[in-house]
Amino acid sequence: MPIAETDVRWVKAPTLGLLDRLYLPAIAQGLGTTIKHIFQPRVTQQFPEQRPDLPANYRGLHRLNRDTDGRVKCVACFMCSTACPARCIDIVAAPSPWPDREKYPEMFVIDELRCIYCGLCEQACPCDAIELTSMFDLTGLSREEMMFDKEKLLSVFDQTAGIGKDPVRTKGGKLSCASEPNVAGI
Amino acid sequence: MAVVIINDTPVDIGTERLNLIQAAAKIGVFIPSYCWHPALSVVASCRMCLVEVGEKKPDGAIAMQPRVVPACQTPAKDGTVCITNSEKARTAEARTLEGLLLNHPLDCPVCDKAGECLLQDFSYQFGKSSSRMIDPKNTPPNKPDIGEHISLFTDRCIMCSRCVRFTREIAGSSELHVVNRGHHSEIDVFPGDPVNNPLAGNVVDLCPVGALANKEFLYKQRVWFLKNASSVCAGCSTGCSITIDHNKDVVHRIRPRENPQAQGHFICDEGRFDYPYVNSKDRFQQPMSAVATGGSPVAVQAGRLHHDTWENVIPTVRRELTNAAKQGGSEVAAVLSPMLTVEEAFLLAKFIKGLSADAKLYLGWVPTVGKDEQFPQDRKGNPMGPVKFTIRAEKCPNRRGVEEVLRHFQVELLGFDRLLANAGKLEALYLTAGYPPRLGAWLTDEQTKTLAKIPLLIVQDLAPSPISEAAKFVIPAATFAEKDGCYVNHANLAQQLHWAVRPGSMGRSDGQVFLYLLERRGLIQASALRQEIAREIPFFAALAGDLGEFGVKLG
Ligand code: SF4
Ligand code: SF4
Ligand code: SF4
Ligand code: SF4
Ligand code: FES
Repeated sequence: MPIAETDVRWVKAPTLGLLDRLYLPAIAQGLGTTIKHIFQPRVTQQFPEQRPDLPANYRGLHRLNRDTDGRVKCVACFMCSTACPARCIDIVAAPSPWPDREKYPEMFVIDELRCIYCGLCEQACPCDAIELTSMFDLTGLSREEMMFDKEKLLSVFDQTAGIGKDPVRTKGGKLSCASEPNVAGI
Repeated sequence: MAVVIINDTPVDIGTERLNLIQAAAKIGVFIPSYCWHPALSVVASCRMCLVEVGEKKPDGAIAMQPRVVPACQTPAKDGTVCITNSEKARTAEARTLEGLLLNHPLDCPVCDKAGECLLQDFSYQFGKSSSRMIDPKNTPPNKPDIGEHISLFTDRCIMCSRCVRFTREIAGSSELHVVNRGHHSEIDVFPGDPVNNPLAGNVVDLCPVGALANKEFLYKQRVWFLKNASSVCAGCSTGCSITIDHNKDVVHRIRPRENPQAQGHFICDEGRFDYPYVNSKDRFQQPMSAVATGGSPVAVQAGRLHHDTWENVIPTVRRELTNAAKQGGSEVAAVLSPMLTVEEAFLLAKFIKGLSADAKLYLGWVPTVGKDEQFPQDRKGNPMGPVKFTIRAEKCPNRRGVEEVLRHFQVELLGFDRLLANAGKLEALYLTAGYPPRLGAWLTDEQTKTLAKIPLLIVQDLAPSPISEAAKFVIPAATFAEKDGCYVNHANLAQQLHWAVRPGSMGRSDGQVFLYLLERRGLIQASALRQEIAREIPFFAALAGDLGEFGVKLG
């Protein structure tokens, strides 16, 4: 549909006066800003020596939660991989070795390079088994290294669960007992 | 002529004997049901199909029955009035579902049926999502060994008894039973008598919930990842209609597709569980040759089979066959396996007869195992009552189709035994096979030796065998799941196959290979080929039209 002429508002570029064309006042103004900041509190963080204080809902690296017995909590329902818009979760399910559940993930791989950190997997999970943590500084030397398998994702849980920074959430918004320090068997 | 009134709409059902579920379906009104199945007897036990029923009297007055009744058990008669959308009927459905969910574990996330579960679907459509149950649920133990291929998740069962009726009425062997009473009733078998009859796999399809599970498929895929292709089972000459469920070029499951013209509602376990060979890594992935073909990247010792490219093999095979035919047409022959589709058989016959009119075409080995098995049959294998399912002894899908192609190209129909008798005189043989490994080695050592003497032996087969070792060229064959085309069953019913998976990155379907040999351009187009066949061969005239879902009768 063409735009009607009446809907168009024409704007003229401002004409520059003599002072503007000299640039000197603008340079002085810029210097002023710089000097002002010298006396203001510092906001620059000295990463990596200084770690940022991220909000609790920051979406970083995934972890696979453990239950109170230290087993993988995931029941291999594939809800996360169904929800995942980047199609980066690969699960192989198998009958579980434990009597209290039927299915468990024999293999669970997330391609962290392909992931867009949308957090839909976390929302889809019916048993709060997958969560995004505040770990954001992922590095790896190869693509293979960035395919996080079950062991790696569980070790992320071991690193993050006890420190209180990434609480293990449950459906009611309550924190699960696994999020208390030194309860999750770590 | 009978007119039934469904939700104020009169439906003319003619002289058909229908129940109210079927009559309502005629105008697209859906009545939910669990225990009723068109191929099984009516027990009206699940109460899912409750509707309001009444009668229109000759004077026009309508008398409704005071209570809701099961639609599956109510015959549609002239003047029957059925109301499915009233408050009363809707409440009855919701109440039934609440009852069914009382003891149901609702473990959909780990249930293999989730996604195609009628309990999920109907709860969503007709029920409510919350439960008023506060007492602990019954949790009867699972029975993972209820059958060789079947596992029972006892707590998910809704006691529709479809599975029990199937083993009694269709299979005849009556392995499954309802034991205990009331809310403690469960499905079970007698100790040491698992449900292993040749049709047992059907109880998994019949189960409307995730109670009975197919162990070969269990936990392999969630059903919503699967794509489906409608096809025809290549297991025997009954030619059951099937659906191939596949994902990422792997066949995961075979399910029956209802076809009143072919087999009805079910398939046998032989056909259902035979697919792993399609996914097998042992199959030929690319052509092989025992000659140093032009441009071959590896220096090859003549006489040793090595992997080769299609670009090399096809022209070489064509050239060598043409040369052999020039020396003497009658010394060139081809064997048309009954595993080929009609289109493929036609193309190969055309190619071979195009080399020389004297070239001979033989019908491939027709595998026959035992006798036709008819169901229901009792424990001793004796048929009982009217036949509801037949597993045929002829374990190939398309003998009729290939025979008719052969009859068109050659007056005399030559069987495989004739080939073995004439093998000594042959210069060149194009041997197609493609038999599923379940049938075992199909050539005896003696026969292999006879055929191995043919100087130009081209073998098109699925996996390595003594005969492929002896071949000069090996061409990978495709399975039914990789083919487009049609099979003609024992009763001359031509049914369409649609390819589900690709025959490996280096594979080609049989028909495509024959197109290459014929130097025809493009990809194989089964429907266009069928037009051509219908024009040339009167027997196949009916193939010109659309084969539809259920196929067409030929001849
Ligand atoms: S965060 Fe999003 S993209 Fe990443 S794995 Fe989860 S669902 Fe997939
Ligand atoms: S959604 Fe949760 S339980 Fe289901 S497979 Fe993913 S991580 Fe496992
Ligand atoms: S049977 Fe149906 S409702 Fe029950 S757990 Fe399985 S998918 Fe869910
Ligand atoms: S196991 Fe399935 S088919 Fe058999 S009675 Fe239970 S729900 Fe019905
Ligand atoms: S389908 Fe009618 S009562 Fe079960």
